[in-house]
Amino acid sequence: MKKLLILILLNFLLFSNAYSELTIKINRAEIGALPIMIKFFGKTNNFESINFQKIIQNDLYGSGYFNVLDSNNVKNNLSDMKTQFALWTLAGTNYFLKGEVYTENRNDFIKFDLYNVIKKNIIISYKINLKDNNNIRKVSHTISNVVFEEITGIKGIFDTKIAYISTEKKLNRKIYKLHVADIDGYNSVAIYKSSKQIMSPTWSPKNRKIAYVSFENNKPEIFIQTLATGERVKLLNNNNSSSAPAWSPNGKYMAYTSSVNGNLEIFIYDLIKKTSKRITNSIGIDTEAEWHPNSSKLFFTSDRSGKPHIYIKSIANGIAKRVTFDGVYNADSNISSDGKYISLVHNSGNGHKIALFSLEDKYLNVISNGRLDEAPSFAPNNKMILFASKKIHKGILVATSNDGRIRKEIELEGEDVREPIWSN
Amino acid sequence: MIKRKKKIIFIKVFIVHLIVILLIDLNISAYIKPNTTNEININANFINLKSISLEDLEKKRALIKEKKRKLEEKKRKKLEALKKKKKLAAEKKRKEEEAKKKTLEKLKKDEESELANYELEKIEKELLEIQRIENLIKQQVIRNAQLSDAEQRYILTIKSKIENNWLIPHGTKHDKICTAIVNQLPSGKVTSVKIHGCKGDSLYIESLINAVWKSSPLPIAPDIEIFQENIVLQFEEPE
Repeated sequence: MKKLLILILLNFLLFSNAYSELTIKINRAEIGALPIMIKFFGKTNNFESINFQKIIQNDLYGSGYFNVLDSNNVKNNLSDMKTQFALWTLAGTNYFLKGEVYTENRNDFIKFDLYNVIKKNIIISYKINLKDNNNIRKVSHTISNVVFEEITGIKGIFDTKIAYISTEKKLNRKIYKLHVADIDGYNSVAIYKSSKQIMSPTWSPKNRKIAYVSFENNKPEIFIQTLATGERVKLLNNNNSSSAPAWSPNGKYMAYTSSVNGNLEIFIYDLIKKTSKRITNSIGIDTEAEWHPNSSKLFFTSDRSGKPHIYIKSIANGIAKRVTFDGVYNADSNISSDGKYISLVHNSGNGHKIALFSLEDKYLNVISNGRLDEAPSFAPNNKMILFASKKIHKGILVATSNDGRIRKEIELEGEDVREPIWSN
Repeated sequence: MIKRKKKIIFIKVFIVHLIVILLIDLNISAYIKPNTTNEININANFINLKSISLEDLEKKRALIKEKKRKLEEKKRKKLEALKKKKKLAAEKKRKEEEAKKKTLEKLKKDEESELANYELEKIEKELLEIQRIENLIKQQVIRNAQLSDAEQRYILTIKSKIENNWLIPHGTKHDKICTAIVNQLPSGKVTSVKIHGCKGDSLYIESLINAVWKSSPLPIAPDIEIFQENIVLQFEEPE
């Protein structure tokens, strides 16, 4: 009887198969950048569409997330959308950004539509009045941001700024300049110029001011410069030296390094109360403070163990805890805004390279291949890292994806540059 | 005297039953060829289930034969039958065998012939029922074998089309396996894609959705009976 029951059960299973769902395992894929086509039409007396198109193409390609396909040979202006989508699909693109520059009631406009060629729909559609926004680069970067965010879900950084130091040699005299520029190196403006060394620029949390070290009084001193007005203020109101400024994310403090009996220690300066407080006290050098996003802890570089390594310490109390153990040299940390990674200069015997250190799983990943790479800083969306490198004895700036896969030199017309820092 | 008469009647009844059983058995073995399993030895889960059922059927049949032989032997020498059963029993059916031993021991104590007779009748009924179901199953197996061949080809064409259209952007974070439920029309045109229980970057989730939409229309089912309105896709990023 048992057998009979089993048979009946089997029988039931066999017959019921016809009503089950189809389950399919998908385990093969291409890993790469998303194909996109960009085409802008039209021109007015003041604007030409191709200028916008080139900047946007450059932005999206440089992000590493997009494969910008040549859109010149694809028809883009069919009124029958069904045929239009079919043509775009054939051209192999997933997205199509179509824009137009035109005049309406004596005003110039740029409008753009982003299509999802796969789903055959419009993702977004915008129109910008070029009368109020006449900076082609700024408008283009804004469009890049919108497109990037819409497709990737990651905040775009194409309209953010970078600051860096350049050095020029003129008649045996060196001229140092502090620049602020777009992230592609354009719209560069020298906001301070000196015959004495300047170094270590850092942005205020809201990007309105930049703090940096100047040797104008023949010793390192931190100055804060307001970008809108050009006004400069010395940080400390005494004669003590100060270097390696770091603005706390809440804007209340400035961490800095100062010499105590010839040994470098870290202090924090309360920007409201205008008082200093010593944070470190060790026989080794302690410098290059970097704030944790919660403004209560500091990362810093110390050689108290014999070799430079990154440490962390609460500003309230407690002892410093060593963070890095890999290699023989880890310095100049910069933390991601989510508090998960620090980028740093790492050496394990084959030169100074940029590395990413995961604070969660304590894993260090080298992401650059130079020998004299330095000064890493995260993009505001944490997806890219800006750093300084050397090319034929001249300093250059490099932007890299946070896995080191995409590496892009920032064009700065042959200047000798270093110490870049990405705005917040 | 009465006891002896009873015995003779029992033997007669038994022989008649035996002939019936043999006839039925011959009938069954003429229908079913053991090599049908080869046709459906493919890797999808539900097809495995079918091949399992065929194997089981073979086992069932073997067991029934065995039982008949045992009963015959029991007629001559009950104790000997017990020993032989031990040898013949498959390991998987050990528990059943033990149960049988117990019943046989019980038979010894009780009025053996009546119980044997009763059991015989029961077996015969079972046999008839088994035969009926086997016939039904046999028909379904043939139908399923045809379907699963086509179904397998259908699955592979859908799989390869979606895999060709799956483009994952670099450096995305996500769960190991993500499931998508796809609704389609008989034409293969996708009408909806829903992602279930997948934690990950929106860029990754979007890559799954795009892979399906880019594959629309999906390959058309070769037989409308294979067509499924709902397809479950299990996405697993290759290493």
